[in-house]
Amino acid sequence: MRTRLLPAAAVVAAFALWAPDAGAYLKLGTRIGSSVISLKWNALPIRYFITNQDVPGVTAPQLQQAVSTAFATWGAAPDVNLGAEFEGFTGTSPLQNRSETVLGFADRPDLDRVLGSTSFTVDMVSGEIVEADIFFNSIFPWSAAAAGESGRYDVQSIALHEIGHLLGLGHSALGETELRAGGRRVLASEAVMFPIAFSPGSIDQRTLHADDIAGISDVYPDDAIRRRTGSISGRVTKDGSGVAGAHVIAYAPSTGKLVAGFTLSDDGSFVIASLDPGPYVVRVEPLDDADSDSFFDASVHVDANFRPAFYPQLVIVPASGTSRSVELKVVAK
Amino acid sequence: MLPLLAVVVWPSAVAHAQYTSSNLPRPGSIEIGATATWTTGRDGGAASATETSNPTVSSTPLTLFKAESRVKPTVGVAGQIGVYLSRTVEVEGDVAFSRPVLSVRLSGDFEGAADTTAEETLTHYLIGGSAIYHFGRGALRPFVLGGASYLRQLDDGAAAVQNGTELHAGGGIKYWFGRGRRHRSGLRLDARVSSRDRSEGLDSAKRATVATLNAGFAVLF
Repeated sequence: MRTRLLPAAAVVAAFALWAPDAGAYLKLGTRIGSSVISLKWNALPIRYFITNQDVPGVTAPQLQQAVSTAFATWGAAPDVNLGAEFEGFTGTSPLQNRSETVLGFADRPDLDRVLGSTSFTVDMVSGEIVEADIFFNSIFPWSAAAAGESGRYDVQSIALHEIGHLLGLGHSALGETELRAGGRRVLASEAVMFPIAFSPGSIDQRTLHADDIAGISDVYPDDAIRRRTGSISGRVTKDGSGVAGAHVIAYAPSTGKLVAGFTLSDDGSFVIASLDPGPYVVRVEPLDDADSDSFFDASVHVDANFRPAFYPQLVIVPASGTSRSVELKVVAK
Repeated sequence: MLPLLAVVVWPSAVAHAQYTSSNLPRPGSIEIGATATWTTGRDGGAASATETSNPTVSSTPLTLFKAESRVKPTVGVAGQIGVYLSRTVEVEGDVAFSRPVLSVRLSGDFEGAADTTAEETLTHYLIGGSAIYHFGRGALRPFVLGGASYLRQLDDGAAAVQNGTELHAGGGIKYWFGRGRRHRSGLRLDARVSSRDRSEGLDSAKRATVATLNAGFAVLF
C-alpha cells in the first residue's frame, strides 16, 4: 500500500459487532452460543422516527427527506426485499435508549472524527434487529443541497452509509487511502460502505456500487436472486496455513463490477455471494486501508503481513451455484 | 496448415485422375466428412478494475489493475453430413468441438501485486448447417458456403453454460478420387469467417469475428 502522512480525515463508523462466518462485503452478525448469525430486520417495513432538531445547513425535514431517499436507494437495489416507513418527528435524541428507531443529529464533540454512527438492539436468540438508531454528529458542517455544498458533508451520502449498517451491513474494504498527519484520506472507493467518507462537498457517495448491492441482496434476498446469482468460495493460505482478515476481491471484467469479501476465520476460508454468472478475476490483499477494528471484532486475528496477489486462473461463477474452490496462496511481505 | 493436414486419414488405397461429369454427385447424393479445425486467436477485450476517486483527489477513476484478454488459437474436430439438392447445390449439417483457452493478462496493480496471466479452458460445441454451391465438373471442385450455427460454451468444470449463435461464410475445395459405383472418397479443405455472439472473451455480449480452417476427408454416397 502506498501511503503518506497528510492532515486529518473524518470517519464514518458503526458500533463494533461480530462478523458472521461467511459472506461477501461484510455482514454484521452477533454471536449466539457458539455460532454467529447475521443481523437483519425480520419485521418489514422498518418504521423510523426523525429527531426534530435542525443543524446549520440541514433542517429536520431535510434530514427526513435525505433519509427517505437513502432508504429508497437501498430498497431499489435489484433482487432486494425490504422497505421503510417514516413514522414522524420526535423530540427524542438517537442517543437516548428507547424502543423506537430514531435517526437524527446529536452533539458528540468527543467523537471528533466520527460523522455518524449506528447502534442496535438485537434479539439475542434470533439475531433479529429489534430497533436501531443513527446519529449524525452535529459538530461537523452539514448540507442537504441537491448538488452538494463546498466544505460541508452531504447528509444524504452519510445517511446512505449509516442506513447500510442499520440494515445489517458492515464495512467494505473496497477503497484506497493514504495516511496523513492525524488520519487517513480516502483516494478512491467503490462501495458506499467503505468506512472513510469522501471529502466534504462530494455527493458521489449517494449511489450504491456493485459491492453494496451484492451485500444488501445477500441479506434481504428476494426469490429470484438465488437462482440468478452464484458465489465464489475458497481459502487464503500462507505457508500452508489459513490467513484471517484477508480482503478478497472478485472482479467481473465483462461488467467492470467489483465485489469483495473477507476471510473471517483462522482457516482462511471465504465466500463471496450474490455474484452475476460469468468469468471473474480474483485478487487478495491485506487489510491496510483502515483500522482493522473498523471491520472486525477482536475474535478475528487479522494477518496483514502478505503481498497482494492474483489467483492464476479465471474463476467461473455459475448461476445458482458455487465456483470450484479457490486457494489463494500468498507470501509474506 | 501442414500439421493439420498431417492428421488427415486417407481411406482410399488408390488415387485416380480425372472425375468425369457423369460421376458428379446427383440430387440425393449424400456426403459425409470429418475434418480437423484450426480457429484463429483473437483479442478478447481489455478492461480495467477501477474505483471512484475522491473528487478532491482526482477527477478520473483510480485504476486498481488492468486486464487484457486473448483467446488463443484453437485446434478442434468437426463432422459433416450433407445431401445434394442438385449437381451443384448441397445442404450440410455439421457439428464442431474445440477447447479454446481464454487468457487474461493482469498488470499494473495499484498495490504492487505481481503481473499474472490467468487462464481458463473452455469447451465449445457448434451445431449448425450450411448451404454449399459447387463449381466445376472435374475432380477438383471449388465451392462457397454460408450458414449458421448454435454455439454452446462450457467452462472447465461445466459450472456455467453460455449459449449463442454463429454466422459463417467461406469457401474451399474438394478433390474426389476414384470412380467407385457405391461411393467415392475425397479431400476437403475450406476456410470460413464466422461472427459469434455470446462467445468467449471478457465482453461476451459483443460479437466476435474469427477465421476457421477445416481440412479432412469426405466420402460421397
